[in-house]
Order: sequence, then C-alpha cells, then structure tokens
Amino acid sequence: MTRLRCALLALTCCLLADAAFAQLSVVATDINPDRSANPDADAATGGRVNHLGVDRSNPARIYAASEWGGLFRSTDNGVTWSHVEGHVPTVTWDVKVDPTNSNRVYATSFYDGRTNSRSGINVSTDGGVTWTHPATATPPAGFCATDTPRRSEAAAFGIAIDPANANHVFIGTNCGLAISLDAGATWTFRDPAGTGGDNIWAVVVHHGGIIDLCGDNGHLRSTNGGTTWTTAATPLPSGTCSITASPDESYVLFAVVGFSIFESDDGGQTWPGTYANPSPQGRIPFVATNKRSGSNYDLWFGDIGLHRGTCTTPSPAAPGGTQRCNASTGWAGTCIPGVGCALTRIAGGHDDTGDIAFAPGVAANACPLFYSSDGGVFRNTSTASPACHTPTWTQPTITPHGLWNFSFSGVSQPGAVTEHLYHGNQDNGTFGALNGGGTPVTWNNQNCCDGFDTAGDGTRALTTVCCFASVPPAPPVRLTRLYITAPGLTGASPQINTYPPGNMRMAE
Amino acid sequence: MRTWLHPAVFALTGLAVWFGSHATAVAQPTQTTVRVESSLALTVEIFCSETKLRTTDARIRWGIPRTMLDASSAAGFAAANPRLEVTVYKNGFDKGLLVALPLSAASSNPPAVPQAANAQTRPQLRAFQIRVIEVEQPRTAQALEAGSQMGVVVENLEPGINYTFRIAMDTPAGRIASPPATKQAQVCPADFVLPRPVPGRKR
Repeated sequence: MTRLRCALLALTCCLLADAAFAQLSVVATDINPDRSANPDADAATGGRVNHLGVDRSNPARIYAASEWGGLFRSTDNGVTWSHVEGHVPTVTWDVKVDPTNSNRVYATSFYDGRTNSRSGINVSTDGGVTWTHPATATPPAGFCATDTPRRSEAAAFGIAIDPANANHVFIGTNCGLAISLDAGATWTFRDPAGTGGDNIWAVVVHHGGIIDLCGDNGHLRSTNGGTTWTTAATPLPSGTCSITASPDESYVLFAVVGFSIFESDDGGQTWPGTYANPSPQGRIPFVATNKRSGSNYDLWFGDIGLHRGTCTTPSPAAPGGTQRCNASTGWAGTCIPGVGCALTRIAGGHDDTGDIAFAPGVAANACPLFYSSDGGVFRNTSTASPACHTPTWTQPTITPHGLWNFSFSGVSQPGAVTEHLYHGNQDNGTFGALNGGGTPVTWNNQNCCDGFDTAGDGTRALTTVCCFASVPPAPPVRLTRLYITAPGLTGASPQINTYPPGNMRMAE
Repeated sequence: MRTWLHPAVFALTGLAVWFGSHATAVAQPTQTTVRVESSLALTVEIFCSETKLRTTDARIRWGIPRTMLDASSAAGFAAANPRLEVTVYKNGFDKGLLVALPLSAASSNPPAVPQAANAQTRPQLRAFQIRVIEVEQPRTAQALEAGSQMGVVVENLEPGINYTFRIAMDTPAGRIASPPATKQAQVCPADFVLPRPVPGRKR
C-alpha cells in the first residue's frame, strides 16, 4: 500500500471516529438507594437534610433543603420524594412555602463554587418548577464590610414569613438581613447591628410583625419592620443559632447559640434563663415552640437527639418572672449511651437533628408531622394528639436522594446486570449491590454512620466505617473499623481490624 | 536561670518594656484603653481533640519580632501578666465581656475572670468553660532568637461559637494587646455504632 493510500485510510478512520463520537450520548440514571432495611435508624438513605417547609394550603406537599443535594419535594405526605431540578444551588439551608399561596416558595443556599453563582436567595412562583434569583437579592455594592467575598459568594440562611402578612419575608444572610415586602419580587438589605453586614443565621417574625433575629451580633429585635433595632447590654454570644418565640407572650424568646439554650422573658433585653442541653454536639441545633391546650406549649430542641419540654404561660402574663419551661429537669427524649435517643434513633429516626415540622393551620396541639436529620426526612406514624407528641418515626418509601458520598467503587462481572457496586457515605453508612446494572439496583445497607471507603474483588468486599464504638459503662472510644464481607455486603460482616491502630491516642 | 524557659521570659519582658512607654492607664474593663501592637498578629487553628470525644480545641500562635528581643529585666515579666483574653461577643473586648487565661502554665482549672468583671460577663457561660492545656514555647535560645512562634492550646470550645482571641499584658504605662483574631469553633461529631440492633424496631 502506498504512503498516500495509508494516509487516506488513516484520515478516513479519523473522520469516521469523529462522526461516531459526535453521535455518542450519555444518559445518567439515578441509582441511589430509596430506603434502608437495616434495623438501625442511623443506617439510612436520605442524607443530611437541614430544614423543611410544609405547604399550609396543601399539607401533603413538603419541601426539604438538603446539605449537598439541593431541594427535594414530596406531594404525598412525605411517602416519596423527588429532586427539585429547577433549583440550581445544591448546598441548601432552608425552604419555606407562602402560607397563602402554594406556588410561592423561598429557598436559601450557601455559596456553591460556581461562576455566576445563584446561591443565596431563590424564589419560585410555580410550586418549585422554575426559580428566580432576583438581582436585588444580592447586597448592594459597599454594603458588606468584607465586600467582595460576601457579595460574590453569597449565602443565605433562615427564612421567616410574617404570619400577619405573607408578602413580608425576612431572610438572614451572610451580609445582614434581606427583606422583601412584595413576596420575594424585590429585596432590600439591613445591617441591624451597624457592623457592616454580618452573618444572621435565624429570624422569627411573630405577634403582629415583631422581628427577632440572631447571629454574629447575638440577638436583635425590631418592632418597626426593621427600621430600628435593640439588643441587650450583654447580648447572646456570637455564632450559629436558632431562635423562636412563645406562642403566647411576644416578649418570651428561646434561642440556641452553639449548643447552649437561652430564654429571655423581656423581649431580649436580658437572657438570664438557660436550659441544659441533653445531647450536646452542636451540628445544627434548633429550637421550636408548639402551642398546646390552655396556657401550655411545648419547647422542642434538637441537637444529637430530639427533645421536648413542657412550658406554661403565667397568669396574668407579664414580662419577667420565672423561666416558662421545665426543660432542664424534664426533657422528653432521653439519650442512652450506646443505645440512642428516645425521640430519634430509638424511635426510628436518624440522630443529629435538622428541623421539625408541625401540622400547619392548627391552633393548638398540632402534631409533629416530619423531622429531618442527617439521615433524611422521617414521617410521624402517630397522627393524633396527644400521642403524636411522642412521635414514632418511619423513613419514606423513597427518601430524598441526598447522600454525601465518600467513596464509590465496583467490580465488573459477566453480563450487563450483575455488576458489583459499593459506596460509603457520611452519616448514612455503607452500601453494596450485586446487580449494579439492574433496574432498580438492589442495595444492601450494611452499616450505619460514616462509611469512608469500600472495595471489592468479586469474591469479597472490604469497607471502613469511622464510628465511635460505645460499650457502656466504659466511656466511648474512637475507632475506625474495617469489615470484610461477601460480595455486595451481604451476609455476616466480621470486623477484621481497627484502622489505623490507636486511632485515638490516650491522654498523657 | 539556666533553663530553656529563660529566653522566653526575656522575650516577654522585652516586649513589656518596649511598649511600656506607649500604653495608657488601664481603667475598668468597659473603660479600658488598650494599645494594639500589630506585629503581634495571632494565628488561630481550630481542631478536634485527639484524646477526648466531641471536644473542640484551638491552637493560638504568635511571633515575637526580633526587634523586641532586647530584654532588660526578668522582674518585668511578673508585672506584665501575659494572658490570653477571650470573648464570644461581637466587640466583646470593647464592652469588657471577656475572660482571661494566664499564660504562665497549662491548667485544668476554669479561666481566671477579671476582677472588675460583673455578672454581665457571664463567666459561667458554657462558651467560657475553656482551659489552657498546653503552652508552646521555643525550646532553645537559638529558636527564640530566630523569631519562632509561641503559642497555647485551649481546650473545650463550644461548637458553633465565634471565639475572638488576643494576647494582652500590662506594662507600667498601660495595657497592650495583639490584634484580635476570630475563628468559629467547629463541630467535632462522634457517631457511634450500636453494639447490637435495638430490639423491636421496624423500618
């Protein structure tokens, strides 16, 4: 064959390959596990969910803001969940539905590293199908003390809708407070403390438009729509926080900062009351109140576990006086070392709380409907008061697919269906499958908690799980465990080592 | 003194003498005037304890510039009262809302509270239940003269709280301090595996 013919043949081959490549299409199919069969509630499939938003007009519809997977929505009372594709930012924090308009939804998110990021505040007016990132939802130039990163890497946190006027929306951001008076169409920013737009983590609007917020400047209050603000001489500490108000007394506030719980009985002028945290860890603790019968209401607190305290409004109600709740002495939801917490892991829900959602539009004794945590979203199977206030949780049939993958591996097998697949996840454990090419993939959730690495060779599988083994009465010991199992993480899984040896050194 | 501590003592003494003439008198914490020495910039590293579960620690380091190493008298060290001041409030130093940890040695005791502190300082605040567990000082005179860093390790920070640190000391002419450095205490989670499945639980 002449050189010319060789060259022509090579050129033809290249052109044909190019054409074939241009016609190549890739289809990505979601093969996340839908739910876990592991009896340990901390073995789950939902991933970390930070906050929830229930549609007051249609309580069967709920939204969930996951830590890394974006927004999810259920339209069947939390039985099945699907991803909200139209909301672009994936590092979501909070989501709330306009109580007067099911189609209007607000969502907040952290900066996600994208160029031309849409992180911060996003608004939907069609029930979450499409979303807008209003131009005015970014602080004006020069507003933030450390201007460039806070504006170009916008982040937004807690959402509050004024119960007295749903067009008034207040959102804490990484540069002050964002306020909309037209249901999210336009926004203005406030710097309540006058310190150059610091982090505001949580906002609550109540009792006719009183605004209470917390964040880097502690607590601040406004009674005139955000025009002026007051704070205590000794404010709350600076840090991540959650805040709520008594349903009966506008001057009674509860806040958690770090993992310390505070009470004010004078509108935030002083914070003398404190409550013991029954399960301190501090990932994203929250407080919430729920009106009960007569002068009673519940104070819900979440950290590792979920806890409920009983509170009473004095008669006559007046600022000051004693703490309203018995929480320090009578929290419901005891945590038992080595077993779990009574209102979470023992009750069927993953530990490490995020949020709780009550039945909307109920004047008193509203049942807690949903609870979010590091394992996803869980439904309360107890639906009638008073039993529902000691919830029993169940995972959805199809959980949010919000897993935080630490590892993914596989072993090729003969045929298109019988591929071995493995993955390990933050908080939700390790998974294996023998039909990785099947529809659906059948996953086995071997272990709970932090599954760091997985590998297989066709005849066996290895997984490492970084859990803190607790064998009472000895204090918890930190171990990273290495397990070996049959392919697909099926059958027995003996521990063959702790890795690395001496993972936690003894105090000298 | 012929111990390895001697150069560090001279360094701190030299620091106190060097700035003594520039500070103003100290009043009540809420009225304290502090001269900020920018060359004493701190670095703060937050990390999880390697020996205690769910325990957040901080390593605070600072360097002493070579120009300050001309020590004069070790007697000035005791009067300098070097300490790590900590606040968990925005502008807490200006408001006098702080606690002080002596830098003389590691201690398992709670932090010392300024004598002028009042109830508003909330020394019993969980966020203030921290302690110095390690004092890092140059091991050799040569290392000190090279301008290596000094530091302390503080244990038991409250996760999620913004801590602001500064090094402060009293001089004959007033109080001096490093620029403040703020870091948020991270969460140190401790998930655990159940020793056996909880009976009766259904999924």
